[in-house]
Amino acid sequence: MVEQQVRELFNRTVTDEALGVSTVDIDGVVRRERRATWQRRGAGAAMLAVVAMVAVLVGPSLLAGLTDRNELPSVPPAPTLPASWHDRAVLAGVALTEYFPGVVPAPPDESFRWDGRVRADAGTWNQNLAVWAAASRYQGPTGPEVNQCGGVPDCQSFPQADGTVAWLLRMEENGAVGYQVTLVRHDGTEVQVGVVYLGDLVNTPAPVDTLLRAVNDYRFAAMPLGAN
Amino acid sequence: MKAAEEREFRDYVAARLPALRRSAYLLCGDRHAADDVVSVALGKLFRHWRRVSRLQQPDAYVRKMLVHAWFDERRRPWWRREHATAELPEPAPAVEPAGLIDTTVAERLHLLALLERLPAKRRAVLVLRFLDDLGIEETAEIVGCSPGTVKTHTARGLADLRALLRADQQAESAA
Repeated sequence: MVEQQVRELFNRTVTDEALGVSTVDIDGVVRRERRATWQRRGAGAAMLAVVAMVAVLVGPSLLAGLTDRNELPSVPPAPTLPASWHDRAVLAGVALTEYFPGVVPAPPDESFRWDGRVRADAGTWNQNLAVWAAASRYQGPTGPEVNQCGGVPDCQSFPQADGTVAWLLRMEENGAVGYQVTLVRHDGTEVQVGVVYLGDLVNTPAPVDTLLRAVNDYRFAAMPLGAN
Repeated sequence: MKAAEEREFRDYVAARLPALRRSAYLLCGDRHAADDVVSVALGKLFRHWRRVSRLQQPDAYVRKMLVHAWFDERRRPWWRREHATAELPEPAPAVEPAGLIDTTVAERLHLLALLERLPAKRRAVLVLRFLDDLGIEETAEIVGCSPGTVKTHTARGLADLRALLRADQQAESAA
């Protein structure tokens, strides 16, 4: 089969009859491409708007950070906690369920008030383990060097790089052993979350690092405890 | 795109559409698929018309769009392609119109079946060289390979067509 034969064969094959009436819709093509162009432009404009908004929001603080490099990071001013006891009770309950997912907080007991705190209790899946949380306004010092334990035995301080503070305290009370983690959040809320070992677990050694692992497992990630 | 540019685009398409459909038909082997590929290529052309219209040879660019639209269509996974079904969407006429199945139709179907058996690039090279009468360099530019490869595809494509044709003729005579 020589080239000329192929040419003739091809030309005989692609006749108007074989091709039929064209179904290519030029108007449709133009419409579709115009629509796609507008969509692309719309997406680009939306992206620009987002970038501009982020620049407006973040730019000033970024510039301030560049000019004040030597200053230590500071905790934002603590907002006033909800004034009513009931409002704080909600906060403690939220903290409890946040740190210990799955537990059902008991209704806060109004008779259990001390130091302006609201405490929420909950039993856990393990009858030998009880958890509780308390919320209050933090009024102590902050900063990466702040050690809230001082000379208190069985206390470990975990100053955070961002200037907030956290510490863990071991307590023995009424035959039970408890561990209490205190975290100061960026909003100035001091949240204490405690674990109390009861019954047979009283004599179980619970090294701090073991509890820390457990605490982290329970999503203390709202303010993760870093290395000491 | 300005109104004048769009008018220019429409005029160009109106003039070139029959040739594009013919090439697409031999590539796809089916006129509906051919029209789809032409539509895709024209969409790309519309998008880049401002730049393409300034070229000295916009035809080569448009053919490249067409061939690559066909390559893309072949690369699509099978579940995204359109499929032939056993049942026709519209009922077939009760009686075949006289003269519809003639030797020309048979020859056409035979050629399309032969082309279908060739690799995609080889088929594209044959169509560009022997239907569109393009040179080796131009074909190489459109298909995206070297002129030497075009020569190889041309020679092997012709040999393939010959061999397939001979095999079919032998099968017919044996039957």
